[in-house]
Amino acid sequence: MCQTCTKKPVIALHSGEQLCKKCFIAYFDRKVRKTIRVHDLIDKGDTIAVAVSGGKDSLTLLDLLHAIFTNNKSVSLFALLINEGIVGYRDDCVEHTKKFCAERNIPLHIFSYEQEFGFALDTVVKGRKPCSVCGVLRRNLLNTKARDLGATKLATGHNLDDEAQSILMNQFRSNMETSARLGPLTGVKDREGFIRRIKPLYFMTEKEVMTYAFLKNITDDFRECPYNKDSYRNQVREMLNKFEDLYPGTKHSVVQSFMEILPALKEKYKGDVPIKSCKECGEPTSRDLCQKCVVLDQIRSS
Amino acid sequence: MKASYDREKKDYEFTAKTVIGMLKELGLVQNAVIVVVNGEVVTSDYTFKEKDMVKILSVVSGG
Repeated sequence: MCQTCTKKPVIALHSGEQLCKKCFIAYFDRKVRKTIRVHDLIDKGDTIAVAVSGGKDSLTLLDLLHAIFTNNKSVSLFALLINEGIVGYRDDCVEHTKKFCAERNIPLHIFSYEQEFGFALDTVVKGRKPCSVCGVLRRNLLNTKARDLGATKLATGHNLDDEAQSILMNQFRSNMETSARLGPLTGVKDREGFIRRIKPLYFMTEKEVMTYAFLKNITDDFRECPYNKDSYRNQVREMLNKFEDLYPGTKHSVVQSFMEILPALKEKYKGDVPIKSCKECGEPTSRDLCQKCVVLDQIRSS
Repeated sequence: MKASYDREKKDYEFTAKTVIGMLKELGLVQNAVIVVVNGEVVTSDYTFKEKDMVKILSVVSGG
């Protein structure tokens, strides 16, 4: 039974505590608000671009931020969706997101690879790692569009599982410099051209987010990117989930211990790399060509 | 009993009496799914009753 009110439980937390629907929703809401407050994710005057995919994480995030700030005139938000062009997947997500935003009167801006780069993702992935191509292009569009639409922060639906996976993936690949760019708040304040990213669901597990989304009727049908199953991330996810079943609290431990060393990592890799303008597109980059233009050049030359 | 699993888009048959037993029998990981019985989310210690409608929902979605 629920340890708070003795009603029928819907979830057992990693601590073993069981919560009913009402107490779990209150716990979830409280924990996300605490993450925002403790990690200074949102300031007065912020305009938040919420990156949405139509999945449970981003729509849960949008629903929560909308509820928190709907009567707060000092913070505004809008939704930003990137349509990569994945047949049988993204079109459904777009329709669901349009309906979701319309019901809550949230402004929604949609951009596509087709419109911005001249191709759909499906048409360029042969012989390439889809997630590597997509990740670079998607990050670029989210940053530039959020910035051009006047956002001061970009909120993403990354949860505790995503972060634990990223930490381990970087560790396995000896890529600590990339880990230095993780955490609930990333990016450097006042760095021209870059929008800081915030992750309010940072301490919520994927199972907690799914449970919340189901209980609040946020998701409709199950959808998964067709390129997800074969990804390196998916293998790490499966490994971590098995470990979590055997040793509850594993994911929290991975993230909590990482949070302890994160300040040292940020200090070590803060670098004072001068930001230049990309020779092709003019976007800010530490190299001559930004990563997006490198990927686009590879695609166009093949 | 039968349970539908959204990620695989198929129904599974099982003989276990509890959610945790069912997940073990089907080779599914607790942390990767939520189980819905008659429209309500249940925890792993739930004991099935006759005519329960069981759905297994993957927590891995989007991408």
